[in-house]
Parts: sequence; structure tokens; C-alpha cells
Amino acid sequence: MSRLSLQLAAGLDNLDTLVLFVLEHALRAGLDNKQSHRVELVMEEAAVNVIQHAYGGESGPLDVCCTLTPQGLQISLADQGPPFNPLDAPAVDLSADLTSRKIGGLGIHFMRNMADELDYRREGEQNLLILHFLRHALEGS
Amino acid sequence: MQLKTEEIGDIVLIQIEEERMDAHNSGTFKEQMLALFDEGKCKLIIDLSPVRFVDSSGLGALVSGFKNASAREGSLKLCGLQPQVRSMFELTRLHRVFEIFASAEEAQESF
Repeated sequence: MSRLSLQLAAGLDNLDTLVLFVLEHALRAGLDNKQSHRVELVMEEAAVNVIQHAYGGESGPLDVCCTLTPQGLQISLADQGPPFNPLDAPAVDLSADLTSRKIGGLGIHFMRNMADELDYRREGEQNLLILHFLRHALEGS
Repeated sequence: MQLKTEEIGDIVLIQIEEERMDAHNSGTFKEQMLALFDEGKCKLIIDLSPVRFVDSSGLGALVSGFKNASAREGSLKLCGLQPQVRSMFELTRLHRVFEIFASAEEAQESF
């Protein structure tokens, strides 16, 4: 298994660097265009979540680690913000009328629905989000 | 956000000139639309042809524009969606909310 890490300051200006890093590894993992788009979207949403909510716009470290696995690509994202488990966030009601819909929850909706697996754990002072993207996406996903 | 606007009667055609609508530029785009609403322009066509990536912030900006246009008895219509962008609207069922056209001309004729 090949494993590479990137440490950067959480900030919108560094999003391009993060996206390029994960897309390069999606390519190395042999993910197709559709899966690579999912990687790009999910990682962008996860990083923006950290920037805007975990750190509230303040600076803080963001560690990204890509691991090529026999099945595809595993990406972990670590931040030092307050504990936050995106898996506990309420589901978005997509059938609700537009006036009562909360667009803010869509980012987590994408993370849950576009990663093949999504795990969260609190490790010491860190939030650790672990995402798996399979080379051959699950049928119907 | 880099965009071009063209006024066709009381309709404003907004051509997005970015490949991405994301957390970087969607806040600015919301403000650019609000400036048009403040000028009394509330019939908007947004041409997304060059956009290959839209995230929840980009969708949020478009929904905000849609709500603002509707509140002023206008409308906000979309055209030129690339397949990946269209799939984002389908995934969020927003394709049932927005009127989506293949071209700006078709969108214009629908007013």
C-alpha cells in the first residue's frame, strides 16, 4: 500500500492544493472519472466544513492522508476543531418545499452519499474523518 | 465571480465564466445577483456552460437567487448544464425546482 500525506493550513485559498492532491491519488488508484468527481466533491465539502465550522474561519491545521488500497483509495482528513461527527447530523429532507429546505446540510448529504464508506472517530484532540472510494463503485451508489 | 451579463429587454442573461462554482466564489456570485435584484432586474437566465464543478455552496447561491427572483415575481432559469453539473441537480432534486433549458435562446423564449 502506498501512503502520502499533506499538511496545510485550513483556508479557502488552500482548497485547490487539497483538491489537486486527492485527484492525483484518485488517478493513481485507478478511479474512473465519475469516482474522481465524487472524490473532488466530497473532499471539497469536508474541507470547507472544517474551514467554516470546525475552525470558524480562524486558521488551523488540516492533515490529509491518501492511501492506495487494493480496492481503491482511502483518504483521511484530520482537524483540531471541537468534536464534530458528520454522521450524527440530521438527514436533509430533499422532498421539502424549497422555502423550508436547509441548503446548508447539502454538503454533509454529498459526503454521506458519494463516498463508498465514511467513518468518523475522535482521536485525542483531533476529528478524524476516513473516507473510502472503491475502484468499482457499488452498484446503485 | 467572473461573469458576463447581457440585457435582452427586461431579461438579464448571465454567462458564468468559471469552471467551478464553489465555496471560493459562490458568496460573490450571490452578491452579484443581489445587485441586479436591487436594480429591479428579476428575470434572470444563468448560462452554466463552462461550469464543470458545482458544490453545495454553488447550489446554495443559485437557490438563493431563485428565491429572491420568485419573491419579486420574477424568475431565475438555467441553461447549458454539463452532465456532471446536471447530476448534482438531480441528486438534490433541484431539477424539479429550476426550469432548465439546453440553450440561452430556449430559456429566453420561455419568458
